[in-house]
This record gives sequence, C-alpha cells and structure tokens, in this order.
Amino acid sequence: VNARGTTTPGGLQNGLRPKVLLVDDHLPVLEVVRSVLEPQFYIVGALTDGQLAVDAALRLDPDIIVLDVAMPGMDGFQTASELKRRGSRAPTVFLTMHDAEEYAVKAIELGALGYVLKPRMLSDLPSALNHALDRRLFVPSIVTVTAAASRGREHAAYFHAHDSVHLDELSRAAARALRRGDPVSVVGSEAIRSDLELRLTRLGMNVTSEKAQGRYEAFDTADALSQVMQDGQLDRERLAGFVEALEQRRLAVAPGSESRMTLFGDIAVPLWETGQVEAAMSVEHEWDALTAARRFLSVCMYPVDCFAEADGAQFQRVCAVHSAVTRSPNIQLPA
Amino acid sequence: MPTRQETRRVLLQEELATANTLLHLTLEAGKAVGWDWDVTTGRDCWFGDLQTMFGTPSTTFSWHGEDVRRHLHPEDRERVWKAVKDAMDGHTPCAAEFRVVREDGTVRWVAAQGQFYYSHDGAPQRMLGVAVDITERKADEEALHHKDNELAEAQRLAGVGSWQWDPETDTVIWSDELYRIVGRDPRLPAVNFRDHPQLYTPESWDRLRRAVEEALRTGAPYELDLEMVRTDGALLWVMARGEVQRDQAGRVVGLRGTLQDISERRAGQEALRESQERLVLAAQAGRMYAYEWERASDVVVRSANCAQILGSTSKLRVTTRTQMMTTVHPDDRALVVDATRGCTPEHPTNRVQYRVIRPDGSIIWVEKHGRASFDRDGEMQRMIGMVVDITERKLAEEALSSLSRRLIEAQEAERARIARELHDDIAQRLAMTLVALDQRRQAAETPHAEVLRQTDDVRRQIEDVSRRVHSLSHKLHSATLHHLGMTTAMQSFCEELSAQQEVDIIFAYDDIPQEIPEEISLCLFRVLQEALHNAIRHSNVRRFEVELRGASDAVVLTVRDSGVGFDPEKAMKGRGLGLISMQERLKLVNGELSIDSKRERGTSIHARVPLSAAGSAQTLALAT
Repeated sequence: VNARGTTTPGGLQNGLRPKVLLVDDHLPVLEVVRSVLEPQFYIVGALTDGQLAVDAALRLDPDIIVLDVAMPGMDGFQTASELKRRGSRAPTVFLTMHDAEEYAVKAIELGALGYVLKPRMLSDLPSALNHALDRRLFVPSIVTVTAAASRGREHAAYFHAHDSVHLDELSRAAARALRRGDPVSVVGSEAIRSDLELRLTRLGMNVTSEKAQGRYEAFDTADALSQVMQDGQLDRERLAGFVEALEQRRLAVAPGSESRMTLFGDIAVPLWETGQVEAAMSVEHEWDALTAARRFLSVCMYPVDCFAEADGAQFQRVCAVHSAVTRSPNIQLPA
Repeated sequence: MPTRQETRRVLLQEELATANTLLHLTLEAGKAVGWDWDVTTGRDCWFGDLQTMFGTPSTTFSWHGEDVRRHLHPEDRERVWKAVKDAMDGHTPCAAEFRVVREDGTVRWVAAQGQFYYSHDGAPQRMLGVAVDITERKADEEALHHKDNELAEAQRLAGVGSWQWDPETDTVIWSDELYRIVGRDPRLPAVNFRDHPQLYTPESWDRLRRAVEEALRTGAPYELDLEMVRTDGALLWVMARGEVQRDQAGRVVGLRGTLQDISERRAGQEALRESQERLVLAAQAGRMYAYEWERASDVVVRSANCAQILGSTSKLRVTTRTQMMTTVHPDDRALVVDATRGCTPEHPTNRVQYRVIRPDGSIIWVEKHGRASFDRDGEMQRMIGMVVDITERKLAEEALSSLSRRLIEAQEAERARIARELHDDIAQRLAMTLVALDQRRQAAETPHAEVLRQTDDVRRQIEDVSRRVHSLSHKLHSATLHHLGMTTAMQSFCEELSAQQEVDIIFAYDDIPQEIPEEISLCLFRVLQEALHNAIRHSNVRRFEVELRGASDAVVLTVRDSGVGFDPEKAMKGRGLGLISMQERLKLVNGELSIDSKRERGTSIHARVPLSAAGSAQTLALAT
C-alpha cells in the first residue's frame, strides 16, 4: 500500500533504502538518530552545521532531510528557508527538543512535512520520514494541525486513547480554530460533545453564542452515520449533501478565502469497531475526494485501539488516505 | 428842663442803645446772632453776624417764621421745631445744636438757646434767643472722632496696640487692638503690670522687666522683641516699645507705648534667612550660579560663582544671551532655545540640561532652572534662574549606566549560557537516554511484564525531569525570541502566563517590522515579563492588555490594567528592582519607559524603543 516507490521525486527506487541527510549540532544525537534510522534508511550524511548542510543537500541529493532547530550560526528554520531558496526538493522533517506548538507551526509554514520531538524519536521519527516520503504531514499534536492554517485544505488522521488527554487536545484545537474565526463542526458521541463544550467554556469560549452565530455545530455520530449509510453501504449522494451543507455554512459564516471549515469527527469509528473495514475505508476515500477542492480541515479521530498492534497494514491504509497524521502525546502509533 | 422822669427815660434809652450796640458787637465778634420772635405776629427779627451764619449781608433782618424754617437743614427741621414747641409748651428754656443752610448753599452748625415770654394769661408772647456758630468746633470734633477711628483701624491693620501705665497705682490701660493681640476679653480691665509675668515667656519677661526698670530709673525708651503667651496659650512674637511720661516738673509719672504682633514678619524673616543660608551653601557646595536675563536688552547678569564654573578668566559677570549661546555645545543649542521658548505665563518655569564648552576646550554639563516673567500681553520680559554644574553627576550616571549595561549583558549572557546548557546538553542527554531505553525495550524479545512496568516508570521519571529542565531553561532565557521572533515569543509568553496564573491576557500587535535587533526584542520581552508579573502581583484585577505597536521608527510596548494603580515616583524609589530594571534595560537601547498610573484608576506601562538608533547599542551574545 506504501506508494513511496512511485510518488517520491527524489529518484528513489524500489528495494533501496531512502537517503537521509542528518543535521544536528550534537554528535551524540547524530549517533542515536543514526542508530534509530539505519535499519530502514540510508544515512548519506550527518552534519553539525546548517550552512554545511545546505551545501551537502545540494551535492548529495538526499530523499529527505532531518533538521535540528537550535543550532549555533544558522538555525534549523534558517537552514530550511535557505534549502528552499537554493532549490532543494527534498522534504524536511524537524527533530527537536522544542515542544511548543509555535515551533511546529513555524516549521510547517516553512514547508516541513514532519515535526518530531527528540525523546519520541524511536517511534515517531521513522513514521514521520515515511509519511514525509509519501508527502504526508506528521506532527506531534492535533493543535499544530489546526494552527498550521497555511496548508489550507487538510485531511488529518488523529489517533488517541479515548481519554482526557484526547479531550483536552481536542478542545484546545477547536478553540484555536474558533479564535481564528473559522467555523467548527464536531461529529461525536453525546459524551464527547458535552465534555467538549464544557472544556471550550473553560477556555473562555462562549459556546452558546458561537452556536447562535452558526460558527459551532455538533452532530451525533450515530445519527450522522445513519444519514450517510444505506443498508451497510455508503450513500455517496447523502455524504456529498452533508459536505455541501458544511461548505454552505462556511461561506455564510466566514466567507473569506482564508477561512477553513474545521471538522473534528469520528463517523468511521463505529464501522471499524464493528469490523466493517471496507465500509469505513470507502467513507474515508469518498470524504477525501469530496473535500479535495474545498477549504476544509477534516480531523478524523480514531481511538488507537481500533488497530491491533500486529495489524500495521490496516493502520497504514488509514494513514494513506489522509494528508496528515497526528496523535495524542500519550500513545504509541502502531509500527 | 426835662423832668426827672424824662431824664431818666433818656438815660435809659441811651443805656439801652449802648447795650444794644454792645450786644450787636459781641454777637458779631463771636460769630453769633440773636433773635426776637413775636409769636403773635410771627415777625422774627434777627441781628448780629448774619453774614457768617446765613450769608445775609446785613446786621439785622426781619423774617417770618417760615423763612427761619427754610434756613434750617432739612434733616434738623423737625427736631428743632419740636424742641421749640416743647419749650413753648413747657415754659422751659430751649437749647439745640443744628445746621443752617446759608444763602450760598453752604452749611453751618449752630448752637442756639432761647426762652419764651408769656402774657398774664399764659399765652406765649415772644421768644428771645442767641445762636452761636459752632461749625469749626463741630469740624474739630468730627476730625477728632475720625482720627480715633483711624487710629483704631491703623492699630488693627498694623497689629499694633497701645498702652499706658501708671506705676503709682499700677493702673494699665490698653487699646482695643492690644486686647485682641493678647486675646483678652475687652470688657475686662487690662492686666496689671504686677501680673505681666503671665503674659510672657520667662526669658521675655525678664528682659521686659529689666527694660521697664531701666526706663523708670533713667527715662531711657526701649524696644524689645518678646515672646508673648496669649490667654489661649498660643505663643506669638511681639515688638514692645515703651517710653516714659513726665509731669511738668520733669518727674517720671508713667510709661506708655505700643505692642505690635510681629509673628508673621518674624516667621518670614526666619524663612528668608534660612533660604538665603541654604542658597549660599548650595551655591558653594553644588557649584551653581544665579542669572538674570532681560529680554529687551539681551543682557545676562550672573552671580560670582559663574566664572569658576564656566572656567572663564574674565571676572565679567555681565554678558548677553547671544554671547552666552556661543559657549553652549552646538548639539544642545536648539534644546536651550526651545526650553526658553516653551515658557508661557501658565508654565513659566523650565529645566534643561546641556553642555558648555569652556574657554580651555573642556566640556561640562550644566542644568539650568529658569522662571520667566511676562507682561500683561503675555510677552516674556525676563528670566531668572540658577545654573548648576552637573558634570560629576553626569559622569556618575554614565558610569552607572555603563555598569548596569555590563551587568545586564553579563546577566543575560550567563542566563543564555545556562539555558543553553540545560536545554541543549542536559535535556538532550535525557532525551537520548529515553531513546536508548526505548531501544532496549524494543530489542528485548518477550519482555517480562514486571520489567516492562519498571522501564515505563523510569521513562516517566526521565520525561518528568526533562520537562522541568526544559521549563527552567525556557524561564531563564526564552529561545523562542531567537527562533520565532519577538511577536510570537510575546504571544506565547502571554498564553503560558495566563494559563499558569488563570488570568486573561489580551495580546494585540500590528506593523511589527520583521527584523528587530535582538537586543531590542530581548529588552522589550524582559519589560513585558516584568510588567505583567508586577501587574498580576499588585493590580488586584485578573485582566490585562498587552499591545505591541510598530511605528516607522520605533516599537512601542504597552501593558495595561484597570487595577488599583500606584504612585510611580514612589514605586521607582521603593518597590524592589522591577521598575528600575525596566528603565535601565530600556536606556541601554535608547528607549524610554513611561508609567501612567493613578490610585484606583489602573496602570499603563509604555516602553518605546527607537529602531534607527539601535545600531549604536552593543549587540548581546544571544545565540541559543
């Protein structure tokens, strides 16, 4: 299912490990990163300086570049800008100690496809590199995805543990979108919806007023699902109607070209949980197609336990249909 | 041959004529008139000095009652007529003082006495009387009365009371004003000399007693400043003057004198003396001179110290302002001119600091304080003031400023170094430890459940330590400022702080130039941190506004709350180092801090940093 062999423009061929250029001013870190990546990736170079990295990137033509943020001289952000300016087409993934959202947002605005925190590198860095090679964004938090509005349309898969960490992240992301002036829609269970409203209020949002202005709307998952499914099959017309209604609401509430309809939903989850994998996938594919040309940020929320640890293939299928992958900070993604 | 009876009649007539002539002469000499009023016919015959009294140029005149009435002053007519009527009815003599209006309109005072004569049946027949002109006496009386009033008024105004003392009987007489000065009820008798000790402090009484004894013995007058104890217990300063009174034989029979309340004058003298002393001391110690400039002539007159301060060899204390301006440092001339121009009748004072180039080429700093005076049209007439040599203070300030710059630089550099160490080294090593732990765990085939639980525990602990290290590093020196720029750093600081302190911080910004020198962004960031921490600690409100505005040549940061407010001047002196450190930091980037705060009316802190002049500020080493 991995499409990297055919889509990566870096001259990658099937059977060869992707070429990675590492940039970090700390040699011990470079050593650890090498040990983490080497089974899957080929390290073409490991450099401790941004300026040297730019020259090396142009010379070594890596498939992907891993960049530290804090470096003496040219820092990671400056290095990424310089790479872009000098015509490097290799996607960049940041590997850093900085866990503040603003850093990740800045990285994405500079065109990076991944943002990985160093303590999580063993699980996250290989994933991030693979997603990046597929031109998919990988970031450590749903809030970052919401904040990185510069990417415009986004169809993100968000894996969580169905706990308070998840709800906390969800509420901060929704608040962020509302503060930006974007309309927000939520598809979730009664428990999730009422919890979310409580948390939004605690974050200083006036949910009643947002609802009255049509900027916040919530749907029940079961209701929504029953509307778009007909005899266990996806009714494309009805799903299209649902998407169109959302689009119309966006245009009515925030008609500017900068606004995004931001939707947090778990409509496919009941299908996964009842083993209707193909139906779930068809909902995702259809959604992806329906929103492809619209200013939609769709965050598909999946409890990570939908995917057995051994069942990496199903997880990969879900990721493949999204443009971005993210997860709650307290979970490990399947390999 | 006349008969004896005839002879007697002739003699009588002659005597009568003589007596009549004498009467007329007497009346004229004494400015008096007489009258003989025949009540039955109404004919009233007046004689004597009619010229003086009525302005009638003759010695006799015959009127009717009505004519007399007409000559009486309107205000006195009823009174006089009533007196006449009472006398007629009561068979009593009649006496009255009244005014008459002469033919020429002038008014004379007269004193008149008359008496009625009656027929056998008791009916009034005639009235005879004499009237004397008393105008001059009346004027004297009036003047005397007026003088008494004037004296009392003068005493009251001057705070001068007068007194007399008869040592024989120890009788003391006080004027009203003296009663007022002493604070004694004027209905009581004056205080005897015997009881005078109660009126003065012991020291003053002692001096007064000796002066009085001396006066009685030698006749010498005295003048003393005494401290008086009023009856209400208040103390006041009086000047007592006394002199002896002698009888015709030259013996001293008493003392008289005045007592003047001089408390205010004395307080004024005291203040003047003190201020003069202070001025002299200040001028000597503080190296300053006074000046006076007259605008019309452009002449400046200066006090003696000016030569020493300005290093001039000439002893000339007079110059012109134009001449004076040539010694002002060229860069500061506009400042000096503007300071003078800025004076208005509403704000007549100014203060300006500038440099003076002395004849030997050395430069001194002076501070000029001036006060302008204006004419009625608001045109400046002259200016007086002081010029203080502040060179040493300026040098000290510069040294202090350079010291605080070095301190702040050193502090920031050290903070940055430690933060970098924590973040890049310690936190990173911890992160690598975690990765290594994860690798071991991954490598272990079918790990024991207990081992898994323990490694998870260790992982959590390391993560916790790592978070603390990161947060400490962030607090010491925010790398965000370097990597993401001032606006983002400030915004996330506001968000973090509002979450951590559970307060609302509204952050707004616009037009912030992309490239802001790091010493400026660090300075403003530190000001923001300090200002917000202060506001949260002291304002008693939970909502704060932060505004970052860019102008073409400056960045302005404003931190505002609507809380309890404070007195900025006091706070600068007393409230820890917060405000001072903000000010010091801003100084280093040529910025300025202004605080707008009123009790219960909230506080606004504005920090303004010019962008153009920033190049001159030294760059801090901030790489992270």
